[in-house]
Amino acid sequence: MRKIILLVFILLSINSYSQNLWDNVFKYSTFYGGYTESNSIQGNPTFYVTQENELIETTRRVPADFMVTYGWRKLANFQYEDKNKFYDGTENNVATRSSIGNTKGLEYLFEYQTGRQQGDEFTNKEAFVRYLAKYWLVKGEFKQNELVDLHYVSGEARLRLPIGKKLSISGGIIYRTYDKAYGHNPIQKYLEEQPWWTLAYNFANHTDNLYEMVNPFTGETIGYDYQWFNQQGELIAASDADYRNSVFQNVVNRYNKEQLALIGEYEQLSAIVGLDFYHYRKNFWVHIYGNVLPEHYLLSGDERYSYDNFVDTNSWLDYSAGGVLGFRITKNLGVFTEISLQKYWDRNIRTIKTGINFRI
Amino acid sequence: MRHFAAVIALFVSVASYGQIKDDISVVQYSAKFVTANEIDLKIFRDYNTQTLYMSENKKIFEKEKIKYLPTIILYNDGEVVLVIESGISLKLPDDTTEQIKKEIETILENRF
Repeated sequence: MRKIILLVFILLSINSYSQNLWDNVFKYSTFYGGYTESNSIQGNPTFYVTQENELIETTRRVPADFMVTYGWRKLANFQYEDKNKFYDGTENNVATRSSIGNTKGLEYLFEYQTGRQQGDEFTNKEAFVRYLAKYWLVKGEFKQNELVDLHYVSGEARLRLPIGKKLSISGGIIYRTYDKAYGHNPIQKYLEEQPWWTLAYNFANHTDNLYEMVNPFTGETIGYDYQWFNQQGELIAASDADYRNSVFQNVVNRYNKEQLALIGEYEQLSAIVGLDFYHYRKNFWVHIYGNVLPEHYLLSGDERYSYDNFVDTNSWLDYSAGGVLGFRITKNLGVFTEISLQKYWDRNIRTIKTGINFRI
Repeated sequence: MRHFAAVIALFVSVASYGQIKDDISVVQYSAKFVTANEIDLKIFRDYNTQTLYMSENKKIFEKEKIKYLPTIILYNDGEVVLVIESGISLKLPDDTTEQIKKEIETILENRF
């Protein structure tokens, strides 16, 4: 009998635990997949005329853009956000930027995108997890966006002070990683110490050949210039100017990329203070969110190229902020504004959207 | 400076106006003589809950056009979603809690 009671008790506990787990983690979550395709922007037609007067079209054909998305999300939309009938990965999720959500508890987003844009293939990955309680919140984020060359991991813990039901102030610490030596420019440093052509010789293995330009009618010397050759000895530029305009740009970019990759990743701990204000009514809504990171401490990474070293202090101001305002002035007339600003290290991102609607 | 003060004033007035109806709010409109007929709002503690008494909030009762005591109104960001009135018996229906839970479920479902 005792065994039966114990068994029933265990089953009830498991059932209650699994019900809680289901409600807190999985309920209202959505698995989604999507495929989008659209024509890419095509450039103007270009042509090349050969020495034999043959016309060759050299227009670059850009293949169609496409994107495949898979995701799993449990993110509450704010009342002012358009609720799509189906999620396809193109949503602008304000909840991931704000420190509050339109629900308490656990929210998350896991998304994988792969596709092609303007001929360039890309893979984007995103993971966002936040637990929002009345007086505290924890948040973890991972983002790898190859379209905007952004890659970071962050984790934060904050205490929260709700003031009334609309305003909330929070403060805590945030851990961030970054994989670029922000502020530092390896090619600039190189050119301060050596002339540009040494990079062409030593890094790109290109060679040059001095030649004299002579006026064929008078036999007079017009000047001197250099022809440039690749490793296989093929002519790649007919002059220094031609070389710098066409080939050297790629050499510089490759050098910068390789040098920055050698520096490696950084880990940083920062203080964070945030403010969130959300008010929604059918005819007027305002949502303001902002985070300021005033103090920073480098945990790991090459100090010589760290951002602290670049700005020569641990007290620079990183911030992310935004606001959404909508106002239905009359039944037919409404105005709206959306602003999003972010300055992390030397990266600035700003989007502004504003408009008016008049329904006849 | 004047503009700044105006913005702050607007901010504060917006922040303080209509807070009983913000987000998901369960408000019980009641009076001291029917406290025995009230329901316990503790089960809705994940949301905003409030019990208002007529003697202390006459204006709100008038504005919300409360006819019976107790009356329970469920709000979602200022919008009335559900009204449960006690009627002349001064007694709320037995399934009041269930009705509120069901509506909250619908509100939450629509947010995700």
